[in-house]
Parts: sequence; structure tokens; C-alpha cells
Amino acid sequence: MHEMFEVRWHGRGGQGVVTASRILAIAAFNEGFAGVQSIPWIGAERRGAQIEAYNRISRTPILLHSQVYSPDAVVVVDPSMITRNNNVVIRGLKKSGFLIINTAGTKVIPSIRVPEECLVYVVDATSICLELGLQAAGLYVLAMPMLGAFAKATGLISLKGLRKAVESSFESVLVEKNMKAIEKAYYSTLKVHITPEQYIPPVPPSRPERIPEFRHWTDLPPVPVSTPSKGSIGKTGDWRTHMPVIDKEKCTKCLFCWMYCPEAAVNVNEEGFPEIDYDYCKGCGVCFNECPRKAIRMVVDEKK
Amino acid sequence: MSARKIYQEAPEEYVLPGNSACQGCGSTLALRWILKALGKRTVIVNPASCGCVYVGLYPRTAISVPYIQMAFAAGPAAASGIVGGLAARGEKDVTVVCWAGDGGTADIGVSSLSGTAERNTDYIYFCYDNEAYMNTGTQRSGSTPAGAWTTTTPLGKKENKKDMALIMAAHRIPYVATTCSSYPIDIYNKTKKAKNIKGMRYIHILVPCPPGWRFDTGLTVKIGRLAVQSGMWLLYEVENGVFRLSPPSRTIIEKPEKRIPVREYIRAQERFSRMSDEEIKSLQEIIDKKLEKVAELDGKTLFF
Ligand SMILES: Cc1ncc(C[n+]2csc(CCOP(=O)(O)OP(=O)(O)O)c2C)c(N)n1
Ligand code: SF4
Ligand code: SF4
Ligand code: SF4
Repeated sequence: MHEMFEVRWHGRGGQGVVTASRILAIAAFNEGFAGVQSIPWIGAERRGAQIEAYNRISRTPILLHSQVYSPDAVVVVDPSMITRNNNVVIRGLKKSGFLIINTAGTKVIPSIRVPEECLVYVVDATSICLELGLQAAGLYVLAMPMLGAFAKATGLISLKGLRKAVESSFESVLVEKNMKAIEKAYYSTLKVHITPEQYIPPVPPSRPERIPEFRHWTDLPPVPVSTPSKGSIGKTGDWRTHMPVIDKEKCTKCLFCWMYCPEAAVNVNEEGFPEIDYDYCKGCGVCFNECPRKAIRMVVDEKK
Repeated sequence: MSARKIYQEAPEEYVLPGNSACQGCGSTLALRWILKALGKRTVIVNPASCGCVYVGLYPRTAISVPYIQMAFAAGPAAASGIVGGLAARGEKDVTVVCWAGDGGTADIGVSSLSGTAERNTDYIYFCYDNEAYMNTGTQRSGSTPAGAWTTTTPLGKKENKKDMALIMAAHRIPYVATTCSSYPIDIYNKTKKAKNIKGMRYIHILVPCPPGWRFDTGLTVKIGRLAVQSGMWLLYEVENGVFRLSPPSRTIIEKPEKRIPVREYIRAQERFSRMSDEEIKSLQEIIDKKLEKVAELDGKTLFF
């Protein structure tokens, strides 16, 4: 490794992205890197909000303290960000960098675009979390296994270094569970074959625009007024690990599910049956718990 | 009234799905039901809080009535101004609402809130009480109950919860009510009642918050119900000074066998994990005493 290695994480609030980035920094420090950084970028403290986190890893102390604009590696915890807008995740990615994605199937692979010579790796972190029940406050911590995938893909840190970092970050009961997830991911991370058509010219890094200076109030732009729309932050995506499924045989059309859905994601059809809007249902499980007839099951979201 | 009946009466959704609230958010559930009761001709002022986030980012919004984001301390003042502006334009059928978190209400906004109560400004103030400053990542507020973990009370809060609803009742405004997001029909009925009263109305809503209270997202409605069924949270109205218990709270007072030990409520959430069994026992005694007192108050004039 020459000079400094920069990492950008993409995920959603609640998936453990910030924690994983911190653990990566600690692990790198344990491996003897003298300069390590972990920087969270959070627009709003909200579960499900798109967030980023950054790491810098270097043999020498780091004096730079900005966000990471030209990463050597990008870790994508929530693959729905790739299908929607690939450019968001690969912006600034260096030629011959790493793109590491949490995905179960091969569905997202054809839609991947990367700068030339980039190496792409995939791992099914979601299944690993589901299998091990790796949860915090009700959400699956998908970012933890991604540490294993990162270690495997980049070779920058070892499982031993990760273990030490995990041990110093969690209570002892959680260490084994997290390490198991990390190890499982390490051994199941696969390199993806990328065809020449998938290579695209580098996407320039996005830097914050300068805010224009206004000298007089008449120069100000008009008051911003937003338009009401469903999906104001887009579809739910892989933030949902489980989805509710209604059994019409058992349903008595009491509409408790409609009444208690915090998301207004339950519609009522012409026959009076509830119908779930899967584009926006966040899979919280409230309807599952409130249905008096137990007509709702939560199943692992199969769209992955 | 059953869920089906309300569906026929108020099928419209004003809180649109696909917003940026967390999974299982009690606050959006409460707002859904308030807006069902108030209808389209409503203007909302929302001081800095989770509400300002889940409403969405420009140019899109999840709320389909006019929704004005306001500086933290200025919510009631801004609502006052809108009431004045609408009166000047001769618009009589618009309900003005202030929708604020417990931090914005019990701590930062309390001065201008009290001012509007003193002047009996014609609007409805809703405090949605998630018992901490959740938008900025769970810091204790004046409304956080004793014993609760927050990032600023890592060992559990020492001070008691401030009773905002009774403070507002002491202003002798025409209508004060408390409710909880687990009782959408109660919210709906109380809001409808408030809509038809002139002057200042204050409704305080307990809203469970999965990330801040640390419980599984599917349990939002169950946890709120436990708060009420254990007597930790009381549902009542103070109409023209007369205090009246609402049915769910009256039931547990008149029929102690229907009361749930507060332990069940406390142990269902990780935020109280620091509370010892003795502390829970003494909390139970406090609640039992409180319920005895409240039983005596039912139907009486509180302040004169
Ligand atoms: C004067 C001021 N101080 C601090 C903030 C930062 N801030 C924005 S929202 C928020 C928390 C609000 O808490 P609460 O009113 O309880 O609503 P909740 O976030 O829980 O919905 C804080 C501290 C601000 N916007 N303005
Ligand atoms: S709560 Fe259950 S029984 Fe009632 S309408 Fe929904 S699915 Fe049907
Ligand atoms: S899982 Fe949650 S968001 Fe989805 S329909 Fe049920 S209550 Fe609504
Ligand atoms: S932090 Fe709590 S109140 Fe705020 S949006 Fe999330 S669940 Fe709702």
C-alpha cells in the first residue's frame, strides 16, 4: 500500500455503518497503521436515512480531516442504492479501486458500473445477519459482516486485527456473534467477473457547492415549497429485511393493520381487504403484532 | 367506533408513505390520525424535531397539508402569527396546529407556548412526546421519565418527568387532553372534539420511539398500550377545567385486576435496563398512589 487508503461506506441509519467504520479504524490501528480515521456523515439522525461513513488508513499520521472524496474502496451495505443510482456510490472511486457490495443473488451484478481495473466483490451479509440473528435494537446490523468482506477483498487488515477491535468495542456476549458474522463473510466473499462494457469513465468526486452570496434580500431565491408525494425519500429498498404477507383466508377485514400502520402503507381494496404497498412498507412488523386473527406473517423479503 | 367505520369516514391519508421516519415510528402514526380528524384545511407549524425530518427534503414532502418548519423556540409564536394572518384574510375554516416534540415543548418552546395559552390563541398545540430529543440522537429532555437511559443520562435520569399537560391545564385554557399513539381512535376523537372548540387547545400524545427507547420496531403499539395499561401514562381530558379520565385509564383504575404491573412496561424496553428491581418496585408504589389520587379527581374541577 502506498500512502493513504481511503474508504467510503454507503448504508442506511440503523445498519451499523458508523460502528463498522469505527471498528475498521481500530482494527487498522491494531495492525500497526499509525494514521487512522473514522468519520460519520449523517444528514439526519434517522433510521433508514441514507448515510455515509469514511475511513482513512495510513502508515503515517494523517493531517487531512475532510470527507473522503476519492475513495480507494467503496463498501455498499444496502444494494438498493446501486440499482437506483450507481453513480452515487462510485463517485470519485479510483481507477483499480475496490467496490464491495452486500447482495444475495447475482441480480445487481449486470447493473454495476465501475472505473477501469476496479475489483468488485460481493457477499451476502443480509443472510449472514438473519442466520445469526445479529440485531441491535430490532434492526439487522448488516454493516458488521461487511468488515469481513473488506478484509478479504483488500487484504489490508486481518481477521485477528478485527477480532481485537471487536473485543474492545462490545460487551463480551456480543463479541462472538459479531466475529462469527465477520468470519462467515470473510470466507464467503466472492470476486465478480466484470465485463469490459461495465467499465465506465471515472465519475468525478462530488464536492459541496459553494453557497452563493446574497447582497440584498431581493436577490434571494423564492421560498422553497415542497410538493407532497408518496415516496418522498424513495422506495424502502433493502432497509427492510422482513415483509408482512396477509393471508386472505384468515383475514376478517377488521382493518386493524390499516389503522396501526405508522407508514400508511396499508391500502384497502374494493372488496374491503387490506393490501400492503410493498414499495413503501418498511417492514416494521406492527401490523403483524396487531392483527387479531394472526392473518399476517413476516417473511424474509424475497426480492433480494 | 371501529377501524372499519373510521375508514369509511376518513379514508384519506395526509401522511404519505415512503417518508423518512424510522420503521415503526409512533410519531407518524399519531400525526396520521390527527390529520384524519382535522382534514385538508389545516396548517401545521413544526419546530425543529423528528417531524422536520420525516416530512422530507425539498423538493418533496410526505405531508399533504401546508407544513411550515420553524426555529425551535418559535413554534407557538409562528402559529400565533398564522392565526392572525388567516383572521385578517377572513379565512374561518382553517385549523392552525403546532406539532412539536417534547423537547421543543417542555424545555425550549415552553415560554412562547405559555404565552399563547395566556392569550388563549385560537389554535391546537400537539406535543408528541417521545420522551427525549430524538432527532439529534436521544438526549434527555424535561419530559424524559426518571430511570431512562439517554445519551446524556447514561446511568438513567435522576429527575422526574415534567407534567406538561397539567401545566397547560393550569393556564385555564378551554381544552387539554392526553392520549397515546397506540390508541388511534382516541386521538381521532379527541382531535375532532378539539377542532370544534375555540381558543387554545393542548393535546399531549405519548409516542413510543423504537430507536430511542430501544425496542423491536414491531412493538410500537404494544409498548404504548403497556404504558397506559400499567398506569405509567394516563389518558384524560380537562374540559373547561373539569378533569375526566378516558376509558382505557378509567378501566385500570376501577378494575385493578386489569392493571398490568409496571415491570412489564419497564422491562420491555432497553432504555430502562439500568433500573433495578427495587427501583421498579418503588415506581409501582408511586403509580398505585397516583392512581388512587386520580380516581378522586375524576369528574372534578381542577383549577378555579
Ligand atoms: C436552538 C436550537 N438548538 C438545538 C437545535 C438542534 N435540534 C434540532 S431537533 C432537536 C431535537 C428536538 O427534540 P424534540 O423537540 O423532543 O423532538 P424530537 O426530535 O424528539 O421529535 C435539536 C436539539 C436546534 N435546531 N435549535
Ligand atoms: S388486522 Fe388482520 S384480520 Fe384485520 S384486516 Fe388486517 S390482516 Fe385482516
Ligand atoms: S410492516 Fe409496518 S410499514 Fe409494513 S404494512 Fe405492516 S405496519 Fe405498515
Ligand atoms: S427517532 Fe423516534 S420519533 Fe423520531 S422518527 Fe425515529 S421513531 Fe419516530
